[in-house]
Parts: sequence; C-alpha cells; structure tokens
Amino acid sequence: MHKPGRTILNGFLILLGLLWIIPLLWVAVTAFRSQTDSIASSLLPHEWTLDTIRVAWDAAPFGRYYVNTVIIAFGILAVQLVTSTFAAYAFARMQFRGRELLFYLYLLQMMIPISALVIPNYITMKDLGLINTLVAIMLPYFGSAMGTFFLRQSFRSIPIEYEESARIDGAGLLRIIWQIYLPNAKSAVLAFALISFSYHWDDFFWPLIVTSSDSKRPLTVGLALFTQASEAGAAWQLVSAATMLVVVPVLALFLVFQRQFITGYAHSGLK
Amino acid sequence: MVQITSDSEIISSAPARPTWERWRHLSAPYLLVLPGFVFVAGFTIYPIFSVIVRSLMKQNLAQPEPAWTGLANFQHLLNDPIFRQVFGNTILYVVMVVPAAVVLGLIFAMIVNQNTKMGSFLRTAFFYPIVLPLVSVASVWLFIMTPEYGLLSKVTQVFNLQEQALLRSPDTALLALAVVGIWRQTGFYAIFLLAGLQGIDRDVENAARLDGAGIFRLTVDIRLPLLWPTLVFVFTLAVANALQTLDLIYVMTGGGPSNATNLMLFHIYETQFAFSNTGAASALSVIFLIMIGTVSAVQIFVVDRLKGGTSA
Amino acid sequence: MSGKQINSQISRRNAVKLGLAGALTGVALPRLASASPGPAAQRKVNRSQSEGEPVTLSYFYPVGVAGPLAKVMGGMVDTFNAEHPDVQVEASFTGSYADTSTKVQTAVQGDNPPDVAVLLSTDLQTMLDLDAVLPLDDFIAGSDVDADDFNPAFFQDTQVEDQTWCLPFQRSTPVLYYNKDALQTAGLDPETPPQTWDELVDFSKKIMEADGAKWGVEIPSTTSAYWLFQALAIQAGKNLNGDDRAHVNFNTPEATEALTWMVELSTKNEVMPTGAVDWSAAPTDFSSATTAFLYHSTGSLQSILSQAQFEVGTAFLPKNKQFGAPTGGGNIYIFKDTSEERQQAAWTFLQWMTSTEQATAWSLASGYVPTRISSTESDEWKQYIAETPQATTALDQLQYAKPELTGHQSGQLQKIMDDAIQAAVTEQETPADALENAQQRADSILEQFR
Repeated sequence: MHKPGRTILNGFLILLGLLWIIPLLWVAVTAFRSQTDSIASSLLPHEWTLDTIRVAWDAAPFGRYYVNTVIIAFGILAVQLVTSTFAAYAFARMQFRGRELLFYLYLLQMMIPISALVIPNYITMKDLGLINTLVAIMLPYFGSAMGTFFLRQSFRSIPIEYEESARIDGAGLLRIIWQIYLPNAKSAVLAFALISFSYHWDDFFWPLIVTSSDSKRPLTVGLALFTQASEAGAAWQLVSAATMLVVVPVLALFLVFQRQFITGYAHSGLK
Repeated sequence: MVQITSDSEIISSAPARPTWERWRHLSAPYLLVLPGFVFVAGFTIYPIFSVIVRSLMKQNLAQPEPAWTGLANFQHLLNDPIFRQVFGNTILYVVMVVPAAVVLGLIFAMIVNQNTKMGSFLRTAFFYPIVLPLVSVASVWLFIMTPEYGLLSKVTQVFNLQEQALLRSPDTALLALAVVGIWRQTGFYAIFLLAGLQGIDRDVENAARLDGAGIFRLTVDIRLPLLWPTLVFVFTLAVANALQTLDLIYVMTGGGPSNATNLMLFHIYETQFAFSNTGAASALSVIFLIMIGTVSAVQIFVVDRLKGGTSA
Repeated sequence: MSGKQINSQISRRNAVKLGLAGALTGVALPRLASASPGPAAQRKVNRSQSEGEPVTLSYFYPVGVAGPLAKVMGGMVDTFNAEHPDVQVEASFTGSYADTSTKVQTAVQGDNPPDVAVLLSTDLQTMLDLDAVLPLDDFIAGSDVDADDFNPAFFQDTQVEDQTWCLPFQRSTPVLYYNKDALQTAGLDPETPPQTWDELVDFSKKIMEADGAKWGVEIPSTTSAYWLFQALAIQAGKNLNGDDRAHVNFNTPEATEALTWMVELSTKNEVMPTGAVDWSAAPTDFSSATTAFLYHSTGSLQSILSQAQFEVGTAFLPKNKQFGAPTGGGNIYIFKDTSEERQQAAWTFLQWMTSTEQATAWSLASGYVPTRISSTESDEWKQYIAETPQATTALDQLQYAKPELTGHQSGQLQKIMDDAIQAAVTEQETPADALENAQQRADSILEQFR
C-alpha cells in the first residue's frame, strides 16, 4: 500500500477508535465539571474541579456500595474456584456412573442464564429467609459451569505423569489437586477469575430483585437509582461523577490485565 | 491397582480392597462434584421445573393463593396486545443488533488482524465497553442522547441537523437502544472472530494471495468458510445476549415510550414485581426460557458439531 | 464393549434418570409452589431484637420531584436518630414512586418488608390487597396526634372503610410554572398568567413569536403522565377515577377532549415539543428558559427557583370547564409482620415525621404542600410565603382538587394510562382509540376484583 494510502487508513482507524472511546471520555470529562456550570452552556467544563466527585460520593452511600460489591465479587469467585476445581478434576480425570448426565446438567446451567430464572430463584430466597442479604446475591452463582469447564479443559492438558508420580509418593487427592493441577492451570484460573469478577461486579438484575435496602446494594443498583434520582439535566455532572466512581476499578483492572481478559473470553468460546 | 488408559484417565478397578476404602474411592468423584452441583441443581435445574409448574397456576393480587389453571396464563398472554408488542420488540431488537454487531465485529477483527501497529489501541478501544457495567453504559448513553445538552444534540447542532429526541419517540427509541447494544457488544464479538481469524492457517492464505486473490476474494472464499463455526458461535452468543437486555431499558427508557422498548425480560420484571402477577410472569418466563434455551442449545450442539464433536 | 456402546448405554440410562427426576420434582413441586406470597399470617419474618439495643427501623422513601431531596430527607432522618437514641432509622432511597412501589411489593412478597415507607397515596389499595400495612387509628387515639389537623384534601385518601391506613407526608398538586420575563417579552402582563386552555395556547404562540422561549409549554408524558393528564380530565369535567376501586373512567368524552387538546398542543398548535416530554428533564427546560410554561409538581418548586435566572411565577393550572387538579404525592405507612415493639417504634418515627414542625420544614425545603393546617399557621410558613409566594398556589388550588387515580392494581392502572397518553402524543394512536384501549385493558384487570 502506498504511503498516503496507509496514512489515510491509519487516520480513519484512529477516528474509529476514538469514536468508541468518546462516549466514556465525555462522561469522564463531565465528572470534573462543577455543578453550577450548566451543561447547556458548553461542551467542556469551564473549570475543572474534584468537587462534583466528592458530592457524588456523599450523595449516596458509595462507600457501602463498594464494600458490598467487593464482598460479592470476591466471595462468589472464591467459592466458585473451590467448587469448580473439584468438579473440574472429577470431569477431567475420573470415570464414574452418571458422569455424562452430570456434565449435561452443568451444560444446562450455561445454557440458561440466571436472568431467565429470577422469579423462582427469588421465591427460593424468600423461602430461605434470605431476601435483602448479600448471601442471596451470591448463592445462585456458587456453582459455576463455566469455571468448571474452563478448569477441566486446563486440567486435561496437564500430563498425567505428574499425578502418577505424586500418587506414587503417596499424595492424596486434595494434595494432588492443590499442588499439581492448580499451579499448572494458572492462566486458566486467572482468565476465569477476571471474567467472573467483572461479571459479578457488573451484575444488576439479580441484585436489584433481591435487595431492597441501601446497606445491601451493590454499585450497579446504586448507580441505576442515582441516575434516576437526579431529576433534570442539571444533575448530569453528578451522574457522570457517580458513573466514573462505579466504572474506574473495573476499567483499571481491564487496562492492566487486558491480554488475560481477552484470552480468557476467547477461550471461553472454544469448549 | 490403578489403570491408566490412552486418553489419560484414571479408572479405579474394584475388588481386593477393604470396604470403606472402596467406598471412599467410588464416592470420590461424586463428592467432588457435589458442592458445585448442589448450586446448579438448586438454582438452575429446580427453578426450571418450579417456574413451569407456576406458569400453570393463577396467582396475582386478586388470587394470592396459587390455583391450578392449566394453560390459561398462556392463553391470556396470546390475547394480550402488550405481550404481542413485547415479543415483537424483542425479536426486532435482536434483528437490529445481532447482524450489525457481528458484521461490525468481523470488520474490527479483520482490521486488528491486519494492523499490528494500531492493533493494541484499537483492541482496547473496541473491547473496553464489555467490562463496564451495563447500567453505567446506559447512563452514559442516556446522557449523550438527552436533547438540548446531550453530546448527540450538540453534534447535530454543529451540523445544523434537526434535533432528535431519540429516546422519546416510539419510532426511534428501540433503534437508539440497539445502537447502544451494538456499541457495547461489538468488541466482544470481535475478540472471538479475531481468535478465529488468527487460527486460520497462514499457508492457506498465502497460497491464495499468491494466486492473485484480493482482499474481497480472500475474505469471501477463504476466510468466511473457515471462520464459519466461529461465526455461528458468535451469532448465537449475540442472540442470547440481545435477548437478555434489561439493564439498558431500566435506566434509559423504563420500557417506553408507549411500550416501544419493552422487551421480554423487562416485561417479566414488571409483571412480577410491579404488577404482582406471579402466574403471568411465570408463563412469560417459560416462554423466555424456551427462546433462550433454543438459542443456547444451537450454540452448544451445532457449534460443537461444526467444530468436530463434543467430549464429555 | 466399545466406548461408543458404553456411552450410548449410559446416555439411555441417564435419560431415564433425568425423566424420573423430573417427574418426581414435578410432583413435589406443587406443594412447594404453595409456599408462596400469602396472607400475613403465613409469612414468617425473622427479625431478632435483643434487650437494651435500639430498635433499628428500615425506611424506604422515593423522590419523585426535582431537587436534592434525598439529601434533605437524609438530614431529617439524622436529626430523628440523634433525638431518639432508642429508635434508629436506616433510610433507603428507593427511586421514583413507581420504583418504590415495586421495591416495597417485592420486599413484602419476599417476607422482608420495610418497617416504614413513603408510598404514593394511591398505592393504598395495593398494600391492602397484599395485607401489608397496619391501620393507624389505635396509634392515633393513644397519642396526641390531632387527626383533624391534617388537611382534609390530603386526609381523605388515607381512609378505607373508615380506617386510617397511613398519614399524609409529602403531598402536592401539579401547578403551572410560568416565566415572567417571557411574558414580558411578548408584550403580555407578567403578573397575569393564562387562566384558560385557550389563553395558554394563545400566550404560548405570542411568546414563541416574540422569541421569548423556544417552546410555549411542556406537559410531561413520561413518568407520572397519568397524573398531569388527570388534571386535564378534571378540567374538562370528569375525573379518571371510577365510582369504586374496581372501576375507572378512561374513555369518557371529557378524557378524550382533554387528551385531544394535549396532543394538539404539539401537532396542531405547535407550542409543545413533539414526542414524549420527559418528566425529569422538563423542569430544567423551564429553568433554562427553553419553555415558557411548565406543568409540574409543586414539589419541584425549590429546585426550579434555585436554577432559574428569571422571575418564576406559579398559578392554577388553566381551566377548561373548571379549574382542577389531582392531589398527589406520598403518604407514610407502617408495615405489618414485625413485632409490636417495632410497630411502636415505627409509630414514634411516623409521628415525628408528620409533626407540624417537620411537615413545615419539609415543605419549606421542597415545595410540597404542608400537610397540616397548623403548619400553615406557623411563623416559619408565614415568613416563607412572604419570600416565596409561589408556594401558596398549590395550597390554594386544593379547593379544586380531586383524588388521584387509584384502585386495585393502581400501579398497573397508572401504567396503562401512561401508555395511552404516550401512544397519543407520539401519534401512534388517536386519543379516542388510545383511551378506548386503555379502558379495555383496565377493565380486564379490574374484573377479577369486582
């Protein structure tokens, strides 16, 4: 391709990329805009300030929302890793009656997202007396089919000799899983962890249904309510600030672990 | 004694062991699967049956105790113009989002594939929306699309175009949501397609290039056929994803104006939690389950077949 | 046996097992299915309370009008908590009125109701259908609360079958906001707002011609569309409410006339933007002088005053055959399913929140109409209206006020009406058709309550 052609193409590509970045960029910029600086007046803030972010933080219990979200995301991930590791090993290395049936039942969970089953699950939570608790938000996710399949795939690629020699040395099952399989599946674990963490950080519908009071809400529900609470266009600075508060951690995570995120998602498609 | 088979599995052989050890050995796999399975059973399998049963019962504010009613809930739905509108909207939304997002994703993937210099920048730019919570994406775009002071409005002002209040008109509201959906998801599909593209044997491509194939030929004759399984997979993924749209609706339009953006999941939500009609909501859920189950089944079984068999 | 044969054998066996499992669950489920949202007696709510600890109440509240009222509410709750060490209130903002209603219903059906909540006064029937709230007459009798001190216009919708089920808390009517500067620009008298429908259109046209504003009037049709429309229907001669809670009057000639007029504001007279006008954005449109007239809740007054750079006037909504407006806003409820101790504590909170002092303070901070007559006689109020005479409009308009749209499944009825209005203003349906459909839909829902 000739030089000018390439430059034009590159220019166009930059534009395209910018087009994708601009929406969030604009919100980020507005987050630094003073509340008295009317949005109608100009595109960019007349003066940049951290005030709006401070006000937004106080306007709703974002601290509480953060704590809840972190507990939820990490809590779910932790339990998922445990249940998935065990199940993945069983599927990867063991033969047992009903293995195929169980496999398909797990597959069922991947086929049917929880959003389709909110009503019965909500009623279950009610019967368990767990409405409006963080546990209720986390519980349905503890058994992760995706995690199980991820790890299973990874486990299967580990040479069987490692396990054999460990057994000869007298190691028990749990030891083997902990010392041989998991360490060798680090990238799969990381990929899954990133996907699970960001999925649950971003989860909205289920927590919306199952929580009613501020003290139990995660960031997503808090943000949604906040966006609706700010009547009138003048409060868009606040909403932008609040949006940034919610988005920055997971965005930062993404920017640092970009490669792993992307590989993780790509592999989730190749069962 | 432990046998090792050719596909690296451990089959425990039976006798010549004290009973409790044998028990331990036989029960091991089940105990390993049990923790995860308890949750899968409790929150996926049981609810499926439960909601099917509930859909056959009448239960709402006028009838707080569930009572058997057979298929009446479904019949009501079929006669309900709102349901027909919601169902139609859902299909329409899928049609608006999926082809566009997948095609755009393919284009992005091809661009990133070609262009390693800009590749990282573009990849970040296209992909980051995926990690953002949908409600924040909704909030961003609600702001952009607000007439008078939204970014979109400012752009139309600069170009002297007519002001569009996209979310306030039934004719454009669903389309506006679709744009947001596409913006968010395209990068996601691009990733899969990129992986697929990179999986295409370079030699095949180079041979075609040597034969004089230009970009168009290359794409249509070589890449698309080889990419087919990935394309089908991405397509079904996109459909399943589009079907589950709710966050955007909740924040941006509340289902309006005039139910123009009321989709299945949102309708289920309002029927159960705003109108307290559990019977109808359950029936809606069953219909939704069928819709999404079908798509997912296609994804898992058809794609698997295309790739060459499943392995349990 | 070959691997394939084993697999197919296993598959067949598994299919049978799956089928059996399914059948068993199907049989067991109906019993489980009946463990469902039922009458209060069956619901179990687990809230332990230990001796000596303060009672912590959960309190849900909406904000349905413009302004940072969540903050003000927070302040009020903090003050209450400081003054009452033995009763601590945990306040949760729960969105708009509709959202709060949904949240409360969800919580009630989830066996986890709040202790206290502010809900639309019209949600009462739904709360009764759910058997979720406590009658307050005994509490009132046992305290020094003077029920007669509440403005009768607001008190009437707390009553069902001679029992008091809630107390008025943040009540309002819609009012006409007008831009005095815009009137002046058009050569009109800034102190004489339009009094009739025709005058509104006429003034709007004049103002738009004189470049006083981009639009003449905005009547929101997104959230709470039914509420503002109710005003129009009342002005045309007939309210939307039916004779009882299982009937509504949606497709009356008066309602059709009102909706036609509203639609023609944008289609024929071109004084209102086309499409659905947004409830949340409209006050900003007004305070940024984009529209000269605004139909909105009096509760948005303070917010509008703080944003507008011109002199703001308020007036009765223009009349057609008569002046008219629906009452609106929220009442405060105590929920069942909690211990007596909590109910007492909840009553303490309720009492405090609806006391003259707090009622006055709340009105001053927002624009809501004082719910108590004694509030309007207080010094704070008198001083306030000296500075902000616009606040009295809603109060004075009460003489023309009629009850807000209510009935069984009021949330759904309101949505049906919202849908009809939106369909009409976006020209998807004619006003007559839209209202006819609405009536049919409403009837099919209300049938089962008759």
